[in-house]
Amino acid sequence: MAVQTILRISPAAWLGPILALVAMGYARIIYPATYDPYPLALTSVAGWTVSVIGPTVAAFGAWEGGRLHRAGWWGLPHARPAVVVAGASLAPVLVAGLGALGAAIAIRFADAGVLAWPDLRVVGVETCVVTAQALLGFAIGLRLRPVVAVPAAFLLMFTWMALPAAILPVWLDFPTGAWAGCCAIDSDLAPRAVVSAITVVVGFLVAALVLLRQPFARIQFGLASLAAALGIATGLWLVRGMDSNPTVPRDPSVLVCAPGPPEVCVWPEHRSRLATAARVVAKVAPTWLAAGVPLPARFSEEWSEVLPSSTGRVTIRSDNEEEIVLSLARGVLPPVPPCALRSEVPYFGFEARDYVIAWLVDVAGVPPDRYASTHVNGDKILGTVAAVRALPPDEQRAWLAGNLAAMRACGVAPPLEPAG
Amino acid sequence: MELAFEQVTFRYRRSARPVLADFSWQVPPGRTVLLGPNGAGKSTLLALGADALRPSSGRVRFGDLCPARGRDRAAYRRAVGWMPQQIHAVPGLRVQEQVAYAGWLKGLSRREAWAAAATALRQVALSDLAERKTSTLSGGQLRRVGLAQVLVHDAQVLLLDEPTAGLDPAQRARFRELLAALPPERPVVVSTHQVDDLTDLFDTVVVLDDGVIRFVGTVAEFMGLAPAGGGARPAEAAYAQIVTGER
Repeated sequence: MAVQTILRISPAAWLGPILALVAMGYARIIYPATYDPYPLALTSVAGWTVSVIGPTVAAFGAWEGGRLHRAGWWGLPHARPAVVVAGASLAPVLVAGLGALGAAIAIRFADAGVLAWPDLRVVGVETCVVTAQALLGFAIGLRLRPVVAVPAAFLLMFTWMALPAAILPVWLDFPTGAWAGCCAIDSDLAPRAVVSAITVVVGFLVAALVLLRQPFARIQFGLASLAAALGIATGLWLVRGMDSNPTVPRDPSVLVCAPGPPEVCVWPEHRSRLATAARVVAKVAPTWLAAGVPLPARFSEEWSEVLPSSTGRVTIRSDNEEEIVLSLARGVLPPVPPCALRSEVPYFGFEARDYVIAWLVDVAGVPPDRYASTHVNGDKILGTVAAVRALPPDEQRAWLAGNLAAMRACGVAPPLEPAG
Repeated sequence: MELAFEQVTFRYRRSARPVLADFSWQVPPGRTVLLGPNGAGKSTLLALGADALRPSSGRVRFGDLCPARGRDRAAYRRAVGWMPQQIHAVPGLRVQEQVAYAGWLKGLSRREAWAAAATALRQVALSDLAERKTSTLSGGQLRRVGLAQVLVHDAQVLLLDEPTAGLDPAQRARFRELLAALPPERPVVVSTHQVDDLTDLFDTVVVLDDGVIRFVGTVAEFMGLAPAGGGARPAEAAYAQIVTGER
C-alpha cells in the first residue's frame, strides 16, 4: 500500500506519535536514578517501555489482521508469501512501535547527557519482542472479529509483560525482555536472559505462523497456544534460579587504569574521573600505610564478588575528593565472608565496618562526620573514632587489626570501643 | 498452456462424500460457461483451479506449473485469476487502492500495481469511482471491482465464480459486455447456475452435476438437446434434459 494510504487508514499511523510520547514519558519516570552514563543501563531502562509498546502494537496488529479478516482476503491464493503480506500490513505498526522504542531510548540518553550508541543486544531483543507481539496480534486479528481480537491481543500481551513483574521470584520477569534491573556499571546483561527472551519471541512467532496458515482449523488455536506456552516455559527454564537482576559481572578488560601503587581502575564511563581518583589515592595511600592500614595492590570498580583479595572495590561516582576518599575507605575493607550470609555463626563485621570507615576517613584528613552524620549511630561512631584517634599509633593499629579480623571471619567480636 | 485437472478428488473436512472424485478436465480455449445446479461442485472446482483449495488426491496444473510444488506456487497463482462468489470491500480502502492491493498480492510491484489498477478499472468502467471507498459501493459495482481485481495482474486464465449472482438484469447485461471486451485468446471460465447467462458469447458449454461433467459442447450443441417443441425457453429445457434426464 502507498504511504498516503497507510497514513489515511492505519490506526498505528495516527496513534504512533501518541505512543511515542507515552513511551518517552514512561522512560523518564521509571528508575530515574540511573547515575552512571552507562549505555547498557540507559538502553535497558528505556527498553522497559516495551511492556507498554508490545501490547499496544499487538492491538494495532490485531486491527490490521482484522482488516483482511473482514474482507475475507487472507484465504485468497496470493502469489506473495503470507509473511510478506503480513509484513506489509504490519509496516505502519512496526514503525509506530519501534519508533516509540527509539524515542524512549533517545530521551533517556538525552536526559543523561550521553552521546553514545545504545546497547545493540537490548535494542535487538526489544525489536524482536515488538515484532513478535505485533505479528501475533495480527494473526489473532485474522481469526477473530476485531471487537474481540483487538482487546484480546492487548490483554494477552499486557498480562504477559506485567504479571511476571508483579510476582516472585524475580527471575520470572526476565524472559519478557523488559529488564529494568539491568545494569549497574559493573555488570553486564546475562546471556541467559537474552536467550530466554529470544526463546519466548520464537514461541510467539511460531504461534503466529501457526495462526497465519491456510486453510484454518480450530485446532490451530490449540497449537498456537502450545507453541507460545512452550516458548514461555523454555524461557523460564533458562533463567530459573537467577539472582535478582539479569546480570553477570562486566568484562574487566575494558577497565581503564592509572598506575600505582596502588593502581586505580575505573570503567570507561568514569574515565574523566580517573585522574582525580589517582591523585587522591596518591595522597591518602601513604597516610593509610603509615597508620598501619593494609592496602590492596589495586583499587577497581569491578564487581566485588569476582575480585581477587589483592583488589579493593571502589565506585568513583563523582569528582568530589571527599567522596572518592570515602569510596577508597570502603575498598580497603576485606570482603564480607560467605559465612556472614548464613545464620549458624554470628557475624559482627557489618557493625565494625562503619567505625573503621569513619576512622579511615578521619586518618585521610576528611572530617569523619561526612560519613557518620548520615548514619543512624552517627554520634556514637564519631565519639568512638575521636577516642581511637586520641590513642597512640600502636593502639590504633591494634584497634584496626581487631576490627578487620572481625570483618574477615564469623564469630569474632570486634573491639569497637578502644580498650581502656 | 492450459489449465488441467487430473484425477482430482476433493472432500471438505468432516464430509464423508467427496465433492469431486477422480475428476479430470482440461479447460478449453476461449470462453467457457460452467453450468450446474447449486451444490454441483462448480465453486469447488474453480477454487481448486485457483489454488484456494488443495485436492485430496490428483493434481491441478497450468502447463508445467503445479501449485502443489512450492517452487511453482507463486507463478501458478499469478497465471490464474480467480473471482470468488463473495467480493468484500477491504475496510478503509478506495476502489483503485483495493484493486492495486490485489495486484500487489499477485506479485506486481507497487508502482506496476497502481498503473495496472487504473487500466483494470477502465476495463470494467469504474474509473470514475476510483476514489470512492469500496465500502460505499453497490453490489453490482463491487462485482466489477472483483473483476478488476482479477484483471489487474494480467492472468493467463480467468475463473469467475457466479459473477452475475445478485445482479439485476441491466447489471448482468453490463457484465456480459465486459466479458465480451476481454481478449478472446485468454481462456475464461464463468460458472453459473442461471441458464439465462448462457449466450452466444461462450465458445463452450460445460454442465457439471454432482461432481461429474454431464455435457461438453458448443452453445448450438447444447441448444440442440432441447426437445422439439420445447417452448420459448430451449436453454432451460436442454439443461433440464442434461441434469434430470427429463424429456
